[in-house]
Amino acid sequence: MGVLKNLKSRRALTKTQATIIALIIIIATVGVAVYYFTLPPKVQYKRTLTIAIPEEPEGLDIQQVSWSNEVHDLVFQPFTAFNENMGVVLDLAEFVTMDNNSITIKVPEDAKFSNGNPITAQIIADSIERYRKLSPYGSDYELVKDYEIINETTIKIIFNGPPTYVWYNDLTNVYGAVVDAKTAKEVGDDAFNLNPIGSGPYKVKEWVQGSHVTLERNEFYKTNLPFVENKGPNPYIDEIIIRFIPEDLTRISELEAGNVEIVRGVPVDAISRLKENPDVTLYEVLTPGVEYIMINVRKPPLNDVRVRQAMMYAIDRDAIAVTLENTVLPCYSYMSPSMLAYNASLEEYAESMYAHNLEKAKDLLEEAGWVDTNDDGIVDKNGQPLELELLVPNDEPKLKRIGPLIQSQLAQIGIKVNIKEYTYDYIRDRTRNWNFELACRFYSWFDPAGILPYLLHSEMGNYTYSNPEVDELFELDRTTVLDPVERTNVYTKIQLILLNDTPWIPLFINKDYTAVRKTVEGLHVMPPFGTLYFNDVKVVQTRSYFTLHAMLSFAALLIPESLFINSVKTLGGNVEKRRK
Amino acid sequence: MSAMLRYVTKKLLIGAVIVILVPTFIFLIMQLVPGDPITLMAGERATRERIEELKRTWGLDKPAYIQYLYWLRNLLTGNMGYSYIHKQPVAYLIKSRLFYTIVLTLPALLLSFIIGVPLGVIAALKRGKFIDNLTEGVVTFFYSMPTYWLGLMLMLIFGLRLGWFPISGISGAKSAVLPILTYALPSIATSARTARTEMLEVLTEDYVRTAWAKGLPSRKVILSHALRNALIPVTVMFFLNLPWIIGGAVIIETIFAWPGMGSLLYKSIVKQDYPVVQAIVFIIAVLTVICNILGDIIAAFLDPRIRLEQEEA
Repeated sequence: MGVLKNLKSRRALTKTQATIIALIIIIATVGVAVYYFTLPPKVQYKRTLTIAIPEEPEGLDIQQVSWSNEVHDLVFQPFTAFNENMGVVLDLAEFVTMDNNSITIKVPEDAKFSNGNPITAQIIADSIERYRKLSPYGSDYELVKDYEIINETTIKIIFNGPPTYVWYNDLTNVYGAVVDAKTAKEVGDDAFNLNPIGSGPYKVKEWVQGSHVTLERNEFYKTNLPFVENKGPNPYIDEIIIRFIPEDLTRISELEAGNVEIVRGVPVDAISRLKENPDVTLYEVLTPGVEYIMINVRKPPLNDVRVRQAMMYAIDRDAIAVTLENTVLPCYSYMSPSMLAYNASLEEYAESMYAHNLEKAKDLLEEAGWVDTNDDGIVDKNGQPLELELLVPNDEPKLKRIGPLIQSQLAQIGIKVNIKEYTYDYIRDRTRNWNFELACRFYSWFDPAGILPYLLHSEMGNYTYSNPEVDELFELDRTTVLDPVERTNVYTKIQLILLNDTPWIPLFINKDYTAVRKTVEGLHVMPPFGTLYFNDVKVVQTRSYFTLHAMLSFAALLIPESLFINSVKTLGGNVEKRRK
Repeated sequence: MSAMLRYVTKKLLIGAVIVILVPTFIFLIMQLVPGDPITLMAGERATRERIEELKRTWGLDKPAYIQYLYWLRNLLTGNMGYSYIHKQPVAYLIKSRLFYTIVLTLPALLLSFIIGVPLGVIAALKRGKFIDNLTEGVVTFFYSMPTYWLGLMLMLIFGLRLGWFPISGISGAKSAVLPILTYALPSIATSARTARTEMLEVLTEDYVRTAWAKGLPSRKVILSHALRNALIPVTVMFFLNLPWIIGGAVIIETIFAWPGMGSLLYKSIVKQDYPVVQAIVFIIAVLTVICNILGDIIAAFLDPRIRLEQEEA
């Protein structure tokens, strides 16, 4: 027993030694803690960015699809683009110019596709010819007569008339972007539709059908866009993943959970919730388009303009806006502020002309011979009640929601509306075949010349409405090079006629919302479609990781130290005992 | 045995007719719907001439019976057609999505039988006791739950709130859990109910009472007499449900952004992409016929009475 005691006392520290060691440890720990917590926050960046969109594209080759989305915007690069004021600026092109019958484009000497192939004047010509052959919108270039290759990087496109249509409608967006037509020919159109080659900031890495597209950085990317600082590839974002999430609630949940950084197509219900979310920024863009009710002006009783105008007065657009929680802007004319050649005073005039007025509406109906003779709440004429069928798209949430509201608003002036719900594509088809009475429709395009004639010109649109005066004005814009002021005048004149003829009942302009997590810095959201530019984007990694790491390390140091102090205490006790 | 052979051959012949008739029927229905995929697809800015040109390229301007004959000829040479919307061969579209659908539906089907049937059997054996009442309650709950609501609830609670599983998409084994559960829970409920009903019916049969009366041990009575007979309709049901694993579950795939056949089928119907719809329906028809025959054979194997009936005939 005595031997053991001796052994113990030899191993034990003296009280002073123990205190010194404890002090050293405490000072060291405090020092480390101070070091960690006073260091400036170390910002880390996430190298992958995820975007969630509602619908998968039909294909990835812009020349083979009928609608474009974020994938195309990143893989392809237009020659020009729009800035915040809808002014035309340079993107891929170094120089562009237009005269009465030609457009000249010059691309930079070192301009390359994402696979390293050079962008030459010849390939631009080939690309345009491919578009004419494959795209549903190939007729955009129908006036193109010939190509003149001025030098390796400069091409002059010669037209049979004014080139304004192509200038505004193709050069400024991805539909007019140059594709690697040479590679397309080698691999075939089907393969090119799965893996296209453009000159945009990113290129296709993988497409998992029905799920997502993974894009990786295009190291050859170069731009002349004035509103971005970084004119080359973005060194911070290696990959962009675009996920297709059709269910609204799922898409928003992924944003709230932080699994996706950007969401397009924010549903009406989520807007107020996201506005209050401190981690999310909401970007609002007015659609360059109008949502309206198309009227079959050839079918009685709608062939009477007074009946049509009565409906214009009966619709309460403010009530519609309130029902849609102000995610739309009431519209009385035929164009949107986000469009070229827009005239704000015309919209004001239209609003004053057709301000909500039930009395005026009823008077017009009476004038046209429609009165409620049998007191059943529905106006009638010659024994026939005024009953109309309204086609409402069941795949357009906002129009679907206000269908019943329009029904009740028209009921107030004695018109009985029967709602029939179908998919939007089917409704569009019915209106093209003149097989309808009232139909909810919308359009979305920034150049009135690129959309309104297809809806209102007698031949180009071939819908029920036909007015030679309006036709002439459309053709004026198509056959003469007009400056922006002249163009605005032409479309103002057109709309004045339309306001009298009332082939449509304009309802509202949709607001498009994009929700972005605040960890995304440097994003540019540009009109007219809210196109996203990622040149200056960095995605901040949340700091919680870092602080947690620091705390854990601190705790790790603390634990052995506290054990040590305990054993020191016991040892001290032994020392005491020994002395006794 | 030759009776069996005759039986199977007869079924195969009828099956072959069905397999051709069903997609033909679908083709006819889709012809009745006005419009065509190209017109539907093309936006406003596409001119009428352009649309007609594209229709000519795809052979959509030809009369319906010619298009049908093309489809039939392609089918017999193993060509499943070409999607107008996606501009890809239908076979490619199906191949890329089939795996994801099976990953969802097959485990759900297996679970529904591996968990559901024993659950139902136990409930039947312990009839009236607590276990039975509890099972009945839970089963009725999941049986009457709308898929949409169940899926969203699971996603919001376990995905968003608790963060135990991914909310949507295909990102590894963990991401399949919630979709499979949404599919499986109501299936388990259905299987359990059926198993319980069958078991109860069998337990009151005369031959089972005789077995009890003879003094056979419980286990032998239950396993080799009651269960063996109760499971026959259950097994047949398994085979009849098998073809539907191809069709996938549209609602679940939409909620969880799962790239399976269900959402492909739905999208193709809405956009009038006939080749895709017909190909998928054809596959389901073929599988249904095969599984039906298999189900019949197995039923005959398990239940001697059916075999004897055939031989008599």
